[in-house]
Amino acid sequence: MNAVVGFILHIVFKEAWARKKLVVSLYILVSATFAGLAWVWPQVYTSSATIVVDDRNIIRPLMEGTAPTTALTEPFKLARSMMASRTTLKEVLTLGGWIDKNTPQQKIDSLMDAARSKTEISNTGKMIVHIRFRDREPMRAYLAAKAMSEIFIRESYLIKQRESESAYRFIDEQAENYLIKLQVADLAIKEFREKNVDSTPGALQAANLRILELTRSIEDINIEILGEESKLAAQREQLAGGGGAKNTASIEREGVLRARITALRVQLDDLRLIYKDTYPDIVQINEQIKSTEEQIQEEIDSRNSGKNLEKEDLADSPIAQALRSDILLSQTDISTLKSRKTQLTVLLENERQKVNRINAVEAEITELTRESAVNKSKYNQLIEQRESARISRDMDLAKQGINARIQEAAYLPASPKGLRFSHLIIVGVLLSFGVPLSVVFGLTILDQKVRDPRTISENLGLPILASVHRVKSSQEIRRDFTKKFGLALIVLSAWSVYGYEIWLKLQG
Amino acid sequence: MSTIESAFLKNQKTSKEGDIFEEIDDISEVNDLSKSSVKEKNKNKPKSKPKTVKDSIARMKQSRSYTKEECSQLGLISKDSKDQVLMNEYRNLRTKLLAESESENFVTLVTSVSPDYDSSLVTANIASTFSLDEGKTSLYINTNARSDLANEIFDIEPSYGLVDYIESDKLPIDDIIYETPISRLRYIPIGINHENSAEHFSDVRMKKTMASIVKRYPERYIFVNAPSISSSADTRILLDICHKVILIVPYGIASEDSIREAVLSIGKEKFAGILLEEF
Repeated sequence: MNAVVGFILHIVFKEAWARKKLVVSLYILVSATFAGLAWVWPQVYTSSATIVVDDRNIIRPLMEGTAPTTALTEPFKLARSMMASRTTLKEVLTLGGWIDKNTPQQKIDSLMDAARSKTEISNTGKMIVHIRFRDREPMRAYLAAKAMSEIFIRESYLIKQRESESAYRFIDEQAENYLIKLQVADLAIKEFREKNVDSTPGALQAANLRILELTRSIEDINIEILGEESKLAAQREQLAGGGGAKNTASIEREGVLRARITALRVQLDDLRLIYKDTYPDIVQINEQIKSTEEQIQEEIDSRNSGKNLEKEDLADSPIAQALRSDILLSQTDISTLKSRKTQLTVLLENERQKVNRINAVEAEITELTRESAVNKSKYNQLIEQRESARISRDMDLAKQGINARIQEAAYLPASPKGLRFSHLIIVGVLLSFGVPLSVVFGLTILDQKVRDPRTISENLGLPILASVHRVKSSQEIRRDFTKKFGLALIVLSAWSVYGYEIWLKLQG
Repeated sequence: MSTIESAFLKNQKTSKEGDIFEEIDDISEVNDLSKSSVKEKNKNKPKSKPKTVKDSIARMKQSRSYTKEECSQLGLISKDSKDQVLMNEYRNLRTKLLAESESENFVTLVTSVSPDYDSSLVTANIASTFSLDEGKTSLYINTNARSDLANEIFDIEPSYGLVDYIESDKLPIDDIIYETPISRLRYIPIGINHENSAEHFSDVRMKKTMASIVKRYPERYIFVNAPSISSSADTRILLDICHKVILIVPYGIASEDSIREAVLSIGKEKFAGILLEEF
């Protein structure tokens, strides 16, 4: 290993010597560049603040089940986006004293871009956020870091407040909506019920009872009508001579004839008391009695023979008259009954329609009630949620939801951080040698020419007779020495420039 | 050459071919056809008959020598250089080459894997490593028409060179072998008229030339500085006249594939190994 390193160093120095001009110019270039950079490189001061976002505060277990506590999910991302936002940066710039009201927008924009690149947000774990700000002025770095940490705390509370507030508002709005819906539904039920007063909750039963009653009445009337009608038919038949009515008339006539005989006999007896049988009146009365008896005999005979002698006789008979009056009465009764039946039928129909209506109303009311019930349950739920949301909101308003606090406040940096003057000087010293030698080494590698005796002896397997070099004359030796001296002088002068810079810096 | 190295080499040679040094001691008597490069006595010896190779080498002309500072100024190694690590690397290279060699002297082609890399200096250093040993000499032949660095290294403004010699029948070989400020190191430049060098290198005369150069001294080691094998046709042709090839891999210039390709085009037989540069 050492042999390889030694060989590489040997090659590098040999090549460097061969390319003195390149090496020297690169050396001067790199030295000068770093000397210049070190001189003009800004001193950067960094101030940082650490924020702990703790969502496991005491409120959470206490409020378990009552109201959800808000949590800042991923505060690191929040911090990053917040610190890149224009509003935050503008505030920071104002607080840090970069800008005032008169600063032109263009300058503000460029300052914002610069501030963005100067800000560094990092995190330890999930809940610890570090905010760093670097600037050439320690005071401004401090002010900016301080402002940023404070803005973060403030904004994270505000965000949570806004979030819970908007959640509360939303739920509240929803609850109001449901309340209105509920009211509308209830009102609809009420109005409907008003429109259908007879459709009160027992109306259906009453209507059904009534229908039964009416049906029964109609049935009764029907029976009555039937009775009356059969009676009427019978009377009509009787009137037409059927059913024994003629005999009754003959009997009635016989009776009348017998009554006349009786009267004639009374008259005869009276006359006999005074007169002899030959008296004319007595003889006439006897004659009358005789003819009347004949008449009776005829009546009986005709009756017994069954001969219907004459209708007219019946038509004019008192029976017929009675029958006729009966028929009249019956007819009157029937028409009365029929009209009553008609009335009852109408009533029944009405009742039936009523029942139908009541059923339709019931269906409608069920529908309306169901809607109302759903709205009611939703409303009740929302009211509960609204109360939870209200508590959450109140908690956030009281800054109890999350616990964001500044663990380590921003401080005024005492010494500059990052790439400093001394670093640049050291890097300059190292690179001023490193760059030219690396370039030379790189060129040598790219060149691919034989520089290693082992290439010949090992790779090519050729015998090496000797390794010689040019004999140097004393002038050449002197010249080489002068060159080496010159190189040393260049290195020394570069170092003295660095030294002078350091001295100037130390002097302030 | 260190004592240990000498002993090692001696032991190697002895175990291979018996007492070669005994034979080499008197080069005038060497007439062994079995030796690939040393077939006959050098006809153009600059000096009167020496008794031993070492004597003849010791008598080699050396008008001036680089000082240590001059060497380092030019990027050349020198015996008393401070950078002993580098010296040891070159010495090891020499040992390895000698150990693998079956003949006293051999022709080594030095080429690089990268077309952008000039191997002149490294070749010079390898050659001077050999010539550091007082018992050995080395010859540097530049075949890289595009590089004049060798002339600068040896501080020579040549009138003629290898190509001129091949082209001309009259030109004596001595005229193209130059003395250098490095002891026991001779130099053959490419020449003035070096266009279409590839055609000359494939010439029979080139082979003859090389053979005659090789024959001049038994303890002379010849190093041919060639252009990069990746880009030059010359180098591939030159492979024929050489015994060994050293491939220079400069640091951070070549890719693995180009090394593999170069080694393949050299061929297993003649490939001596890799020389890492500036690794």
